[in-house]
Amino acid sequence: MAPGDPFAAAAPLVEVTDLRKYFPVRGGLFRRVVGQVKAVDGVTLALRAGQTLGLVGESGCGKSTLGRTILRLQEPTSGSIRFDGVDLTHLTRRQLLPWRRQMQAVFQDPYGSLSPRRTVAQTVREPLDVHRVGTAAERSARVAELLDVVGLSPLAANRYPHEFSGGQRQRVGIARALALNPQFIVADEPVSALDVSVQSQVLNLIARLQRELGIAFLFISHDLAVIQHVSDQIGVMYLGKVVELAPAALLFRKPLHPYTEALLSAVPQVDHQGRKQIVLSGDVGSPRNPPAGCPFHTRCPKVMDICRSTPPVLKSPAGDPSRTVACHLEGTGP
Amino acid sequence: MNAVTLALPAETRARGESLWRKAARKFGRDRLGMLALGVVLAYFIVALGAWLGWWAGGWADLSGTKWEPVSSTHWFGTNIIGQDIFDRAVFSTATAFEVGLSVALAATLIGAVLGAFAGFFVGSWIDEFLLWCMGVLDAIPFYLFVAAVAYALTDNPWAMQVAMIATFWVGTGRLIRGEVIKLRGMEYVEAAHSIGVSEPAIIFRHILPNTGHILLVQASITFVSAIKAEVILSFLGLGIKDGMSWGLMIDESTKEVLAGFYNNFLAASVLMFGLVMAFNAVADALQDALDPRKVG
Repeated sequence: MAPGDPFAAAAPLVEVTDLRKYFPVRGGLFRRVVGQVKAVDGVTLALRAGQTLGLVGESGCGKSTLGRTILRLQEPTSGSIRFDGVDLTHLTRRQLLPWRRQMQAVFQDPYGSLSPRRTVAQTVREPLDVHRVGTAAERSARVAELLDVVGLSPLAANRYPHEFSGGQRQRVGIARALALNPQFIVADEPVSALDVSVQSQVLNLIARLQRELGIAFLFISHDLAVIQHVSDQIGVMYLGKVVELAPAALLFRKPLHPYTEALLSAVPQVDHQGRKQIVLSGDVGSPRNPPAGCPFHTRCPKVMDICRSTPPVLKSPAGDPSRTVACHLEGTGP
Repeated sequence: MNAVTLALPAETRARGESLWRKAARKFGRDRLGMLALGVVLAYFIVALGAWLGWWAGGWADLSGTKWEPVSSTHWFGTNIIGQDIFDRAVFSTATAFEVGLSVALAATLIGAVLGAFAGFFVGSWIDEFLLWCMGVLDAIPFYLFVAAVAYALTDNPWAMQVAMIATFWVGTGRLIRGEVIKLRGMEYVEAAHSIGVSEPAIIFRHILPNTGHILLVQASITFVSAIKAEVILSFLGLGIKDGMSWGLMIDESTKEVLAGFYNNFLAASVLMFGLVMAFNAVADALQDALDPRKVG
């Protein structure tokens, strides 16, 4: 899958450095800020052109917020987002406009991501109108082409979202994201709302687009089986932090972080031999008040004393520069 | 490059069916709603004829003597000074539509736009300011406010309408604000942000059209409120100045009812009752037809 070492390659397309997104919690009579939800807490990622980074983690671990913050749909609290070498972190809405052509999003809920009062053609055409791409006739031709690319009949153009199934709506959402020929797409749980049979169709479509158009994807999902299907690299998130990042094949063959191990053991398999399911006890810690030390220590089956006090750092383990992990077991303490 | 082309529902139809069209089809199946709509349209034709001068032109003429009973020349009889009550009642229908339509349109438009801005920028100073305005307008007793506006706009025939518009938009505004707070979090709004659509365009192209069903119902409710308020205000002497309205007829009839002559009072109140009832039924049917949970 991933050819060699991602860190040795040329300048990455998307580079996220120590990104944080905290949501203030207000309370009391005067609605003072009484705490913060650390949805994204110091994430560093890099994504090369044409590559797919899968992001996996439980509900509420901050993976969607991370995707939205990278697209500047949420304002980051601190850290930086660079796209093609340009720092987008502090650009205004207007300054960001040319970059919006390069970065698009596919959303989770196919029923919520299309305006119910606009036809498919209006929805798919809107990015072209906003960025004034070509003449009116060229835009119409492009809409027809896009519908064909995502496998929808030309008759779909003048129909409304409520006339389609979930999978078809998701194809419309993908067509809209493709309209401007972006280099980078954040796909936030694009198939988790779909039936399993439809999931594979949409996943195959995404994999084909990736192959034929060379688009870089940040593919967010809570489902490792889905992530495995499309990703070159996989990042595992827990409580706002990336705890392990590795080439997909390697991560599945040899997970290093106990949390990754537990996630992998939960993937249903036809062949049961050799893998025992690790059932985690306890709940995910609160992002408002994360556990001291390693965020995972409250549930970790291999917890050690140091885990309770010192947070591990995301580093390459000894002898393997292709991956990073944040775990004291791998000696990645500070 | 296209491997699978998915089957579409009802492949034979060339155009899709919008939610509006769907709602209209549903409304068409609502018998009571259609009946009420027919009644409202009949009233409207009566009003239209009065505007165009086809009938009821002689509402101010002294065409008879005092308190004539119902006859073929005076269908509803005559009032205390001998004017034809039927003509006056018909002419008042036009007044009712004038007041109802102008107030409903303006109040709904203002409520929609200001409510949408407040909701879209919820928590910001824009929202705080608009909420403050709504709170202030809500806090002033309506009749006191109308009297103040009427006094401020001395002799302006639109004083009553201005006062109604200035207060009636608040309800619609609050409702739209709440709906927009819900809609702004929808993924299609987020998608518009990620495409780079400007904020005003998001409000007017993506958010407000999706409040259309609420606006239509609110406009019809405001229409009824305006007609009812006009009757009360004209009765109190704060309403229609030049012209004739059901409220003025009821005002006139106070002297007549004491003397046992009910024609003026009955004509005005029965006609108003009919229009208000029919319009309320239309509003109800609209609400059912437009409810997204029921559009199916």
